[in-house]
Amino acid sequence: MSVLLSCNGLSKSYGAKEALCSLDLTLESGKIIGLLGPNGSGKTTLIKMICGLLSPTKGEVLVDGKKIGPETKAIVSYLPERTYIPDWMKVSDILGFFSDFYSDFRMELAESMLQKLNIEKTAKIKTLSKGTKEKVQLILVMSRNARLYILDEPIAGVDPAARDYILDTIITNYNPEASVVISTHLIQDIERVLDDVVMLQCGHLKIHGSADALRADQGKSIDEIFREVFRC
Amino acid sequence: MLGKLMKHESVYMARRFVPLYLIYIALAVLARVAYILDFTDVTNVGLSFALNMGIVLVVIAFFLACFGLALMGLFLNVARFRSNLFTDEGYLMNTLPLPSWYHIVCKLLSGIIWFVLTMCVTVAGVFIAFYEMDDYEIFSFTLEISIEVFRAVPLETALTIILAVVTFCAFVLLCYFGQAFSSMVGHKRLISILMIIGGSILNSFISTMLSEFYFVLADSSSISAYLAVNIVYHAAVGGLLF
Repeated sequence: MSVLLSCNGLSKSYGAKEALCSLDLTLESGKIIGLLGPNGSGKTTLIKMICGLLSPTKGEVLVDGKKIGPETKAIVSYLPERTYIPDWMKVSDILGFFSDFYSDFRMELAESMLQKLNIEKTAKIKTLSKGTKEKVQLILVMSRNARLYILDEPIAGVDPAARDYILDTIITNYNPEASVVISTHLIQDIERVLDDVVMLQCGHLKIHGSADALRADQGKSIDEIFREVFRC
Repeated sequence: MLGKLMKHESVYMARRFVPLYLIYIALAVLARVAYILDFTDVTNVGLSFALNMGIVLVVIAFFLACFGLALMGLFLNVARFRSNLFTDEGYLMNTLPLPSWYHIVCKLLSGIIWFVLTMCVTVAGVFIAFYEMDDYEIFSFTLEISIEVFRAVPLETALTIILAVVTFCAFVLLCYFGQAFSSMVGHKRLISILMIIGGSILNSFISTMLSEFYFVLADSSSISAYLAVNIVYHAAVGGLLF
């Protein structure tokens, strides 16, 4: 297993507010990592810096040993919390868009996942419900053969039946040499698939370790540990 | 990659512009029909007034559409820059594996192409509405004068066209800069508009000072050299904004 993501003294400030404070974090390849923390802990800020949407105030973040840029964007597959697919497109249009820009995009896989979820390729994005749009976005992201998948709240807007399908899709379709970072508040639903856990609080790293080791050490589930650590 | 970006950009812009072009051409055809119709034989005063007022309104609507179409060409380009890169769509576009400047070049090239197309459609509409009609002489006269000027001073004419293109690009880049800067602060639209207005005023002031220096202080009278200096200045402004 190689180091896929490394953050060295990573900090981000929005004016006087420090969203991330000197974060030192290393993630290895071949793992599913839960990025957890209460609201405002810095999860989305960290994710955005990894994806090149924000620049650090101090420190650096490297993906596969490279600085953030077109090369790292080619190997990072990002699912944001928001719906980013333009409303005027059809499902087939956005598949073509991904196929044009990402050489690792697997069209057959995307089409088979759409079929399993009964989503028509000819459907216009604006006619789809919020949950269905999120499923389409997830299918696009997981159909890439990326090195690092970053999923920000992948199951928040979908029905419970689809959640299991999505989690199984994440496990079965990602490259074993790759890593998947899942940021979510629905810890109970995802903890069964997690290898490692990273917990942030107020921009600082609170906990980083193996999910099994944490459960064994504390005799509790990750959800229970989270509730205890971040009790209001 | 730039080619693929241009392809997707063209698909979007065609969806916006083609319906506008069709509406404009339809208005041009209506204007021509309105021009041809003659209601002087209608004896009913009320009906005659209503029919002639209808003709006037159609012709006014067509002229407003001429100006509106040209403005829309610029407005849609700048609005597209903002919506594609600084709203939720930005999550898709800014994570594509290509340098950020590709987006700016793509939008700028797309803006120039669609602006030129819009100008061509505008002129075509004028031809459709007024070709061989009474007032067409004004347009044919303007066209003849333009051709004569080009034949007489080809270098100055070419430099003027280049200056127009470079000035247009600099203005569009100023609009992009305003959008980008305002996305970092609150009151986005107000800040953006103020920056564009302020930037345009500053640019006009410097341009005027440049002319003052060139013609008065440097005591030069070469128009082509003056145009070349202006092209270099506006290209530098555009490069700085880029």
